[in-house]
Amino acid sequence: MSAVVVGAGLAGSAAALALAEAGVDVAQVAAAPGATALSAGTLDVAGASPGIPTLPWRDALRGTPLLPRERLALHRRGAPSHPWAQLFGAGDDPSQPEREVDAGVARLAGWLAPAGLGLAGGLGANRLLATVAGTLRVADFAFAPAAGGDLLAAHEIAVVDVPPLEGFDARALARILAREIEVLGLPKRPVSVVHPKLPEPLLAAPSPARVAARLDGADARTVLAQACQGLGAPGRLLLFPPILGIAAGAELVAALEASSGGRVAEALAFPPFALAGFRLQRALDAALAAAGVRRIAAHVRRLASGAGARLRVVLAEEPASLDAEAVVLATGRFTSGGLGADLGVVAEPLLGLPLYDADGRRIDGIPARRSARKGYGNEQPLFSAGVRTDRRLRPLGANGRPHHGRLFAAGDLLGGFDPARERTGLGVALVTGLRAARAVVEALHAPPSRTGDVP
Amino acid sequence: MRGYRGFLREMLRTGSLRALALQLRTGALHVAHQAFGRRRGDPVARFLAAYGPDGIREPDPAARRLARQAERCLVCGLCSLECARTGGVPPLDPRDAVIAAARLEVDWVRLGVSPGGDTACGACDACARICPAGIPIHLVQARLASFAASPSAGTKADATPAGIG
Repeated sequence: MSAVVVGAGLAGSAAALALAEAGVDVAQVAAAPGATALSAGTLDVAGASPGIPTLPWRDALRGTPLLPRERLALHRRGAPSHPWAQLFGAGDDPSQPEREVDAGVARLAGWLAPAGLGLAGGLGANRLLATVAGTLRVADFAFAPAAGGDLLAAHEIAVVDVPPLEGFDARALARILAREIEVLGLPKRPVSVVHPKLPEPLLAAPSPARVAARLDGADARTVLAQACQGLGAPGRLLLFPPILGIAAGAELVAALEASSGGRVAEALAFPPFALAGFRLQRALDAALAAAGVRRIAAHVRRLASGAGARLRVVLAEEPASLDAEAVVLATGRFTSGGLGADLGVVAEPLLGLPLYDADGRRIDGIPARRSARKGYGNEQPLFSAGVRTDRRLRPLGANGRPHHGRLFAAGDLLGGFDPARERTGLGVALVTGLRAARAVVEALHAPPSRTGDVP
Repeated sequence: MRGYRGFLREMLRTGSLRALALQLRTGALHVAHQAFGRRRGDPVARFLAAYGPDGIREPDPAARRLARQAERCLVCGLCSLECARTGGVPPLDPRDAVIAAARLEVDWVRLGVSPGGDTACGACDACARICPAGIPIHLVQARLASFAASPSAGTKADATPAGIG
């Protein structure tokens, strides 16, 4: 039994890991890291969407707080094109989405543990995290070392100033954070700035990533821990810029918490400071290597029929092609090349699959500008474009039937939702990646049938 | 052209003879200049003759090719992260180098003095291997390093790429 997964982001990696654990001979084809490597450090399953127009934290923090599990249920009912509605039909057990998310997160945490990357959170409570810009972000799950930064659990917040860091201003962060807390009507908590005495060599590099790389070393870790001695207190959150190590985040946080006496966390950051996504991608890659998944660094040209009922993945580089009994497409959207625009016309480049937006309208084959909506902040159909699948995650062709009986899709390639606007990319990626793996295993174990494969 | 003809017709229709006369005069001068004017050579050559002493040169085909590739940059910054992780010491942050290469093709030669002095990166290709757009970032860096090394470059001390990217 063999399968090929196309894409190295969370969806493709989760599918490949689950397939390897199920005993399938799996190869993963990817030309570059997935868009997961650009993520900000949270894993969310339910945010704002066409069915749920307001930003989730406005709901969560004002009036009746909406818990992640309630937002998940709203998606399932209120947004018919959303993958949650597509995956979990109305007739299903209402607790099934929750169970599937919890089980998926537990599996992911297990895969990431050897790399020392923690994952915390749950669908039963809102977590409020700060970004490097001082804005607030509700997260369902978060990766360490941002995960410890729940502002709702802190009595006091101290932003750690690291003076020469490019793009980071501790005083501005503290000021904006204090105002955000006030605007949202949260219980008041003091926000201050602390200045640890940091040695010159540690600060010589202005880029957060270079400081983080230095802090992977035991010497620099000890130096920083000493500098933070006594800065913390019980209930006080020490909010660091994204410098807390690339490989050794857990040890560094433990050392800092021990020396400072407070809770230590990193502010959420986005590219090019997105160390969080970079760490996640590296931990996934390590887990894939440990699970024996073959990684092939190549661009995929197209998919074709192989010998027998097999699918052939034609590559632009060596090896020229791979034959497999099943293929999972986890190619993402525009950032990662899963969707492209040729002369402004949106298309799925491998198979020319029909693409749909959140309103269920077909969006491929027409110039992108014609689908654009005027006005700042409007939902843009282009950003929810993706393939539509059956409930076993097989992408549908133009005739409304699965393109191929053993071709599956997962992650952001699935249309009908806007992951950036909803902030739910990784949650959908994880659950659909695991679902696709399950569908592959079921398809491979099913007795061969003549009608099973749709050309 | 149709628009211009329409413009002339509109002027005739509204009887703006003064505007029409000006137009005809400009046209006649242009034709005369083309026929009898002093030839002053290719504008690019003239530009290079004027600014060559400042260190500005025409980019060679290899530089142009690199610039075309650099234009595919997504500005994701993964090269910078990977470079930091591997402990590279590039003359310019790899992301900034690519942005500079894409934007400032012609001005490359003015990057002569790199912020890292004459240090070059270790010339590994970690940045290029992680690049989602497939840009040969290590070659861009090598290109910058070669400018730093060449004696004719860097005559403009004020032309450091501080404002780039």
